Formats: sequence, structure tokens, C-alpha cells
Amino acid sequence: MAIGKTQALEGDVGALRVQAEEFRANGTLLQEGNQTSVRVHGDLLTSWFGDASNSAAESMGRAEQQVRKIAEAHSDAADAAAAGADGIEGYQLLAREGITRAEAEHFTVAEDGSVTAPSALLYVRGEADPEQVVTAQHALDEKARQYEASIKQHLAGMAAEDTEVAAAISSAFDGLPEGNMNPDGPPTDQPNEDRSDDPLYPNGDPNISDINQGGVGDCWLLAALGSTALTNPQKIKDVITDNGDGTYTVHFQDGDVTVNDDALLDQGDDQAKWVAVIETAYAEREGGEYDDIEGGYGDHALQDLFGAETGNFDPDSSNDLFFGDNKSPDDSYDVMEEALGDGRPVTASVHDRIGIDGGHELMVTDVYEKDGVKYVELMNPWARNTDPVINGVEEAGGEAYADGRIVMTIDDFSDEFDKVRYVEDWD
Amino acid sequence: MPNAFQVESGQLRNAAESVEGCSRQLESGRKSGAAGGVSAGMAGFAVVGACESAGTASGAAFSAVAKSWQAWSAAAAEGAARYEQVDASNEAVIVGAGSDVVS
Repeated sequence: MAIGKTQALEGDVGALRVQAEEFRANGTLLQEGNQTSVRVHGDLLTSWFGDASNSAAESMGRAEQQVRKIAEAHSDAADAAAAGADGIEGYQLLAREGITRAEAEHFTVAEDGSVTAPSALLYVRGEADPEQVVTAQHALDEKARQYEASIKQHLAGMAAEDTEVAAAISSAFDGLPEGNMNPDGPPTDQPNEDRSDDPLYPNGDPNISDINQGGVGDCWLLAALGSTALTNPQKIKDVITDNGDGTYTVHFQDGDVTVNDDALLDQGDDQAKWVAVIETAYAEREGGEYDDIEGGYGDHALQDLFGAETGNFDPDSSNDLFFGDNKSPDDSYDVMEEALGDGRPVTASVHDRIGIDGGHELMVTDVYEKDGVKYVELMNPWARNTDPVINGVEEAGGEAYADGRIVMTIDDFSDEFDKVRYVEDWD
Repeated sequence: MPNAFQVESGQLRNAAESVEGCSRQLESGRKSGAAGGVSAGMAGFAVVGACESAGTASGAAFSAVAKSWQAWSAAAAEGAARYEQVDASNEAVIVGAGSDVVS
């Protein structure tokens, strides 16, 4: 809705001034609380030493930084609202004055500021010379144009100030922690690492080679992330916001989680920072421990992070014939080919086969046909294959390489792998 | 054990209460009425939507801050309780605290 005559005559800028005062009062309240809590903790530290004291200091320090940011946001919003009220009011007074004067002189002012002159005949007394009437009408029309130019200019000024103050208030609160201020610090049941000196995307964009699983059993998450990096890296960039202060916000479908890059899950330096950011945020979302992301399914990660509509099936039609979740090898090949060709991730799970103990989820990186034989190429989230895996894949009829790649015919793949998971639709 | 390295449960409990007080003051003192006034008085202005969104973000941020301070306070109070239990079993001298007071 454009700013028009109604806003010029009725807009209550005083309400915006009250809002500015409330932003400022809230900011002051936060600052005072922050100072009090930090002082109380500081007093305590004179007689409190040890691990618990260090943990408490770290926790309070983290909260202090975040509260200060929120207080500054309120202060910035207060400044923006007050300045905006002044700016809007200046133009509003001029627009209102123009409208009032024009209407007092019987000009008609439309909602968009257009002005129509009254008929010159209204001012004719008795017999009038037609030429004089025409001349008078021209003069009235000219005056209408002048009123219109002035009123529209001031309405445009109101609109520009309005847009500016709205943007300033919105930006003041952008990126603030909302649901999770991480008061207890990062998960501590696995080693954390300070990654503050590392680039978020060491290869420029998210890349499948950024995946390098260590000792944490989150292959399902890494398979989902690696296959997304391969097929649609922008999705990953969209889900992480760099707040520019050493914190990163991961936008899960059910809410944001902000983590600090001075304490991210350490699965080794070969795992890119963006991966560690998501792993740490995911652990916090799931309950606050890395143990909470041990074991899972890649399609659940694709839903949680990207809101993707996912599908899964058993690629071996010799099993579960009547339960509807199986496909023939050829049909499985077709689904995977279509998904990868369309920029949609595909993962595959295996259980106690090809030299792997327990369950494991891998990234499907390619499907292709050569000499009439259909092949599936996969990448192990470990970024390598152990000797048991290399031997297990060879015994199953495929090839496994030290760098983590595995190539199998679709028939062998269907025999060994028990579930294919993929994105059916991103939206 | 040097006295300078000791913390009494009372100190920790007082700290917990002070921080809890900050949290309560924050929750009760927050002003949140103006966005409605802006909405009513400035119909048609973009700033109305911005103020409403800011009010929502501000409310969420206030809750997060209060939650953070409450978590800290609860951990400190729990630590104080542990000190008192240790005192009760005649292990009066406390150095530091259990490493899981605030983890």
C-alpha cells in the first residue's frame, strides 16, 4: 500500500516515538541485567577456582557477549525509530499543509496526491467573457499542478523515510540468537576444536571432498551433506548464516541454532569447517550431546535441514515383494539416475556387508552404463576404504579404492545395499 | 587449604539468586506495548510490519536471555547444594567445584 493522503492526514508518528522509547528502555534493561550478572560472577571468581569455575566463566562470558548484541540491537532500533519519526513527521507536516490548503481552496486532492482544480465557473459572477473563463481555468489548473507536485513530493518523502526506517529496524534484529543461546556451551562428550582461523568453505563452495568422517557415528548426516554438496551446494550455503562475529547460525526447518566456531566438533582437520558447524548445531538441536547424532538416516537430515520431500526404497526386488518399498535393480538405477541428473542427493545404506560391521550410509555419486552394464559409483564418508571394505567389495564383485570410492554393477549394488534414500522434491 | 581457594555454598547460592533476579527483572520489566500503537496509528506504513517483527524478535531474544541466566543460576544453585551436602558429611573444605556444575 503506497503512502498517500490518508497517511499524511492521519498517520500518528507519536506512536513510532513511543516505540523508540520502548526499544531504548528494553536495551537499558538488558544492559543493566548483563552488568549485574557479570559483576556477580566476577565477585564469585575471587574465591572460586577449578574446572567448574572455568566452565561457569566461559558460560557467563558467552552469554554476556550475546546479551550485549541484543542490547545493541534494541539501541540501534531505538535510534532508527526516533530518526524515522522525525523524518516522516517533517514530510508529513508539509504534505498535510499542502492538502489542507488545496482543499480549503476547493481543489480536490485524491489519495495518491493528484490534485484537480475546481471549475472557473464557480468564481464567475454574472455575465463573463468566455475568454476570461478559459484564462481563469488555465490559472486554476496550473495552481492544481503546483499543489500536486508539492504534495506528491512530500508523500514520496514520507514513503522514502518509512522504507528507510523499516529497513533499519529490521536489520537491527537480523541474525540475533532466538531459541538457543547455548547457555551450557557446546557439546562436550567428544573433542571440540577451535576453527576460528579456518575458512567456512575451503574449496570455495561446499564440496563432497569436504566430508571426512572421524570417530563420531554420524555417517547418515555426512552422507546427506556430502551428496547435497555434490548435487546442489547452494542448498548448504542457504542453510548457514555467517554472523561475522565467530558465530554461525544453522537454519533448521523447526528453528535456528547458533554455534561458535571456537568450539566445533573435531573429526580431524580434513573435515571442512562448514561440516563441523552443521554437526555441532545438529547435536545441540538433538539434545546437546554429540552422542545424540550417533546413528540416524540421511533422509531425515535432508528433511530437517532443507525441508526436502524424500523417498527411500530397497534396491533389491527379491525381498519385501509385498511391502511396496522395493524396486528392481533397473528401476533403482533409473530413480538414482533421474535424481542425480536433476541435482537431487542420493545415499545408500549397507548393513554388515562389504566388510562393514553394523550400519553405514554412503553417498551415491554417479550411475552410468558402459558396454551394456549399469554401474553405481559411491563415496565412503570416511574418505577412504579400509582393507576389509576393499576386500568385501571385491568379493561382492565390485571395486573399492583407497580414496573412498566404490564402483559396483547395479546388480551387485542391489544385492549388498539395503536402502536407497533420495530427495524427491526440494520444496 | 588456603582460604583464598575456598568458596562457600552461601556465596554460590547468593550468586545464583542474583542472576535469577536479573532473569526475573528482565521478564517482568520488558516493555512490549508500543508495536500495537504503531500498528493502530500508522496504518499503511512499512514501519508497522518492521516494528511488529522487531517486537517478535525482541520477545524471543528476551526469553533466550532469561533462559540463559536461569540455566546459569540453576547450575550455580545446584553446585551450592552439592557443597552443602559435602559439608554435611564433614568434608568441609571445598576447592573449586564438581566439574559438572556448569558444563
